[in-house]
Amino acid sequence: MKATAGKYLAVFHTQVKNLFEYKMNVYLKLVRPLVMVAAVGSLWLVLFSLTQRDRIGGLSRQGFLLYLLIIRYIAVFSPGSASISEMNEEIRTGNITMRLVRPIHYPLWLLVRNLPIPLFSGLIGLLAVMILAGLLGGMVPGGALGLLFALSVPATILAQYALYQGIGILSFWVYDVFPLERFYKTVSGILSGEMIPLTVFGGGIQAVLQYLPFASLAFIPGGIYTGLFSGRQAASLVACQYGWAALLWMLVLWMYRKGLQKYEAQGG
Amino acid sequence: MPVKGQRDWKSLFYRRNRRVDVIHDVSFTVREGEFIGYIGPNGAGKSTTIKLLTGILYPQAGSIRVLGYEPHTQRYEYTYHIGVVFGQRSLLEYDIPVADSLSLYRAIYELNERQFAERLEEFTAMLDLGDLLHIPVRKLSLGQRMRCEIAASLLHRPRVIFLDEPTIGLDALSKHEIREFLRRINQQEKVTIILTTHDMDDIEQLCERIIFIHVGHIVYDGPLNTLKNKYVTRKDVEIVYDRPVEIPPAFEPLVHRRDRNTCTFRVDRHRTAELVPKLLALGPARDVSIHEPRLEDVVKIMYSNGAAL
Repeated sequence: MKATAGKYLAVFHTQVKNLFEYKMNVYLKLVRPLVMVAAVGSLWLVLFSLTQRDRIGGLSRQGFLLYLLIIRYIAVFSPGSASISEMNEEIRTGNITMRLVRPIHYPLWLLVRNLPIPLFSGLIGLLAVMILAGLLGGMVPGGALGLLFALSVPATILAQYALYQGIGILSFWVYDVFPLERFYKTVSGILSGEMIPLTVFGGGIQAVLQYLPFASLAFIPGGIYTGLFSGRQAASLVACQYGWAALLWMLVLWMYRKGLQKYEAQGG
Repeated sequence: MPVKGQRDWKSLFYRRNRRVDVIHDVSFTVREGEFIGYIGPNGAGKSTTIKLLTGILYPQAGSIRVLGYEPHTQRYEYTYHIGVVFGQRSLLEYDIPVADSLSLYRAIYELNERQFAERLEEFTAMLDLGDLLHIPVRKLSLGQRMRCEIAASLLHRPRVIFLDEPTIGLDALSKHEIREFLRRINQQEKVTIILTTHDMDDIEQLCERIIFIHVGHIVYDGPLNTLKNKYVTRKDVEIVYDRPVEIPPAFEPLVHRRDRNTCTFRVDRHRTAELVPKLLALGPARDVSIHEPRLEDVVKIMYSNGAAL
């Protein structure tokens, strides 16, 4: 077990060295969410002005901006399209062969390999996010909600990695997975609460959507942070997040096993 | 003449798939320490066999055992004992120095510091890696990179090595260095090596046993010399005369090539000793040389007649 952990730590360490060769990737990953917060936030501020309402979907103007800031910041930790692109490329060109002839577990190897950029971007961006959150009047919630928020974030990241890996693994069956990735991003952009907090839908629609895996990616942590849920609601949603994360990872590993059996190893 | 594409709008709704079996009835056993040349024309199934033997592909039928492992079901444990080099693929990290990639593989194969240092010292001497270790892989020449690839693949002292075109694209000196290295580890460490290549010089210089595969079938499995004896029935006798000579009608069918004073005769290998003095007697000669056909030529014959062998 110790030796196994050692080999994946070495993979992480090697990838950190790779990362320092291309530092710009870290900074770019930080700039994009700020641009998105500004763009989507502006749209919502316009909507607040047009409707003359103080609160929409349970959130004030500041609450909205804070919600966007938090979910966009958490998304910095996601592996991003690069992980899908790497897997798709390796499977369709047959380069995965070079991984399969080593004593490594490929999905775990890929997971570890894709950690450094999000991790460094997240750590570098933390101070900026804390300052911006402070300006918007919303520091980390205290008490049980704070703890639930802290539990919710890892579940979000686990689900994100599972979904990205799942799309990448589809490369065993589909030559080009990027149309699927774009489809996933469009669907999750709506269903995860990334663009519109699910409370805006209200009623039955919100009740259903918040228990789907997509809600785990943005709405649940963002909602806990901005006080959209009571402690009890938040606890059940975080439990649901972990349930989905476990289920998604089981699905990913099952797909990987099936994919390997189908693999044709293109090229000489 | 317009060529109709195989796929048109109908393929949006319906596609017909056809199953193609790449290899059939391929059976062989390998003894420990053997150096085997696994050859055949493009598309014969060589790389597929290597991928089956390394556990990358799942066989549709039949069984595979290497070192007591079933490669495709026990791939994780099995890969600790094998080394694999694909000449057209890289396992080194492109942007960082070679030494960092080797450290990564030290961890992956769970070697301790002492084992790693010893092996690296051996390889540094044998493959002349000293100056290369601190250079990012992207800055290496193909020959330098291949030496590093081989080192990274064999760090963990594998018992079986699979090499797929390890000298492809290399210059003569780099090929020589890699062949010497492979010969040494085969002899010194008694490592079993299975080599797939189109470079018949690799095969001729390294392999004692040849397995020839054609359209997914093994058509020859045996010693290299037997292969040559079986398929090489003639030798080329090249004579450089002092001046152009007249060839008597009896010898005319033996002429293979003629260029002013130089004449090459293709003779039955069993009659070489008898015919050479007679050919030399056709005129004053400056030089004579007798060539065994190269394995390359034998293989060309086999490739063209493969299915009928």
